[in-house]
Amino acid sequence: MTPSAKITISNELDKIRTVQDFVEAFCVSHNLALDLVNNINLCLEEVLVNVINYGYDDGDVHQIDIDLALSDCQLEISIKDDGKPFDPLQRPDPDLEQPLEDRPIGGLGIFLLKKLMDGLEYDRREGKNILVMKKRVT
Amino acid sequence: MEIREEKLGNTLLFEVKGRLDAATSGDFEKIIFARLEAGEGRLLFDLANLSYISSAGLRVFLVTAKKLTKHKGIMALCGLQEHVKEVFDISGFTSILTIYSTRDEAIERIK
Repeated sequence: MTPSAKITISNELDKIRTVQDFVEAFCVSHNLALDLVNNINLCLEEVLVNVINYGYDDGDVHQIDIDLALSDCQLEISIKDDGKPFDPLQRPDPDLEQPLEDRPIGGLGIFLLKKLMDGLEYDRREGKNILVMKKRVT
Repeated sequence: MEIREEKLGNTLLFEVKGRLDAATSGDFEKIIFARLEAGEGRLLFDLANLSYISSAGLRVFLVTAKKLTKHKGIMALCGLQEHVKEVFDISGFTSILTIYSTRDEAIERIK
């Protein structure tokens, strides 16, 4: 059987740490390396910050679902939210050759995600953004 | 996140401990900006005890370096843990910021 776990949070920034502790506990209980956990949690923060800060206009409480599924070779993390349609994969990458004075302040979060994960898929279904992040674990 | 400050000659040393993430980076930025306002122009960040950094933390270092460069100041970092160093590398920060492996080396070089 594929080990899996699920956590649902409200759209508040201080819930990100709750998700990260949950993911760390899941990974540790399945003997995944700590640097892998760090990378996954970093990517989760980058995605969740975007969703929470820019996904909603209405001031209401929304639910964000995070699903984990571990197979022999990879951990799959799916993040589902009912915020505005947003495909992070369409964001242009920052120009890393620019000197300090010209480097823009933002845009690094999604770039880190693209670099640290082994696979990313975005879909918009039934009014929800679904982002799937895949990371090899062997 | 926890910050200890120490004045080493005309350089202000920050020992940053814990996490620089979306929840803590705002406070970190406030402290640094207050020191810049107070006229500090030479900052050294020892990150040996920093276990986690996200783009929110990177942003603070970028903004601080930009401000200091504009005012002919100096900023350096040292002691980055492997995971933190990887994030700096991917972001291209290792080539735009001044980074030393140890605090002793940093102090010697920025004197």
